[in-house]
Amino acid sequence: MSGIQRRLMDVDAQLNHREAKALFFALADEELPEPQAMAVRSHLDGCDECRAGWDRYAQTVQRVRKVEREKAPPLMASMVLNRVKRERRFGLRKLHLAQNYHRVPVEVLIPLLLAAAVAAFLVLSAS
Amino acid sequence: MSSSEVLDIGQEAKVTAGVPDGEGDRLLLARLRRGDPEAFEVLVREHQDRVYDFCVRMLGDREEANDLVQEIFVSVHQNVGKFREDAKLSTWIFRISKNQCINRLKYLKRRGRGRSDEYGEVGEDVLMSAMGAPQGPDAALESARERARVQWAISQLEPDARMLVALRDIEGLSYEEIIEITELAEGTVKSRLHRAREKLADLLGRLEE
Repeated sequence: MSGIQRRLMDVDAQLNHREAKALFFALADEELPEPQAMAVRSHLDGCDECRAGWDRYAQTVQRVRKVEREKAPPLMASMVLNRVKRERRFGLRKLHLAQNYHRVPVEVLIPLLLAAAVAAFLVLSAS
Repeated sequence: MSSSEVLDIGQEAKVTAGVPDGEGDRLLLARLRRGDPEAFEVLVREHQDRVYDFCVRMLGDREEANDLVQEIFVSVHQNVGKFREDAKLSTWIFRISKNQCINRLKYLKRRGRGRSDEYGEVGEDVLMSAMGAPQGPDAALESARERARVQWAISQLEPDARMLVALRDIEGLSYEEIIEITELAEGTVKSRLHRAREKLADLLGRLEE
C-alpha cells in the first residue's frame, strides 16, 4: 500500500455514522471512488449499527432490482393497433383527448355535443 | 452480507436487450415517419413490456396499466413526427409514459380510486390476490409473494419516488436517461431515490416482522 493510499485510509477511517450512511447510496450504485468505498467498508467493519443499516439498504436495493418483471398481455400490440385504427377512422383527435381526460367514451361524447349544439341553436333562434 | 458482496448489486444496464439503439432507432424512426404500420408494430412489440412494467409499478394496477399502455402508444403514434431525436427513442417513450402515469394517478385520485389506498394496511393474502399470485405450494409461489411484497412497498411511496425506483432500480436506466425523462436535477434525483430506498427498506422490514 502506497503512502498516499495509507494517508487516504487514515483520513477516511474517521468517517462518522452520518457520513457513512450518506454514502450508502453511492456505494450501492458502485459510484464511490475506491478510497471512499474502502473508508465506508472499514467503518462498516467496526460499527454494528451501520453494518445492520447497510445490509438492510443493500438487500432492499437488490430485492427491487431482482423482482420479476411484469409482462404486457399477449394481445397488447393488437389492442394498440386497433386503437390507432379507431383513432384514424374517427379522425377526432381532440375529442379523443377529451375522452382520455374525462373518461367519457366517444360514443357518448358525440351525441352529447350534438345535443348541446341543437339546444344552443334552439335557444339562439328563440331569442 | 459482506461489503464486498454488496458491491455487486449496483450493476446497471440489465434491461436494454431487444431495444434498438442508435442506427436501429434512426431506421425505425424513418419508417415510422413514412407511416409504415409494420414499423409501428415493431416499436410496440419492442417497448411494450418495459412500458407496461413501468405503468404497473406506478399505478399498482394491471387493468389500469393495460389501458394506459394503449394510450401511451397511441400518443407515441400521434407525436412521432414531433420527436426531435435529442434523446434515445426509449427515453422519449418513457417521458410520455411518465407524463401519462402522473395524469392517470391524478385522475384516479380525483375519482377516489387511488391505488395506494387499495394497498394500504392489508394482509399478505390480499396482496397475493391483488397481484394475481398463483395459489399453491410451488416454486412460483415464493416469487409471486416476493413480487407482491415489493410492489406493495413501492405503492406506499409518493408517485415521484415510485417513478425513480421504477426507472433506476427496476428498469435499470442510467442517471442521464432518468434526468432527461424526469427533467429533475441530478442531485434531486439521487437524494429522492436515496430516501425512497430507505423508506422501502423500512416498509419491507416492517412487513416481515
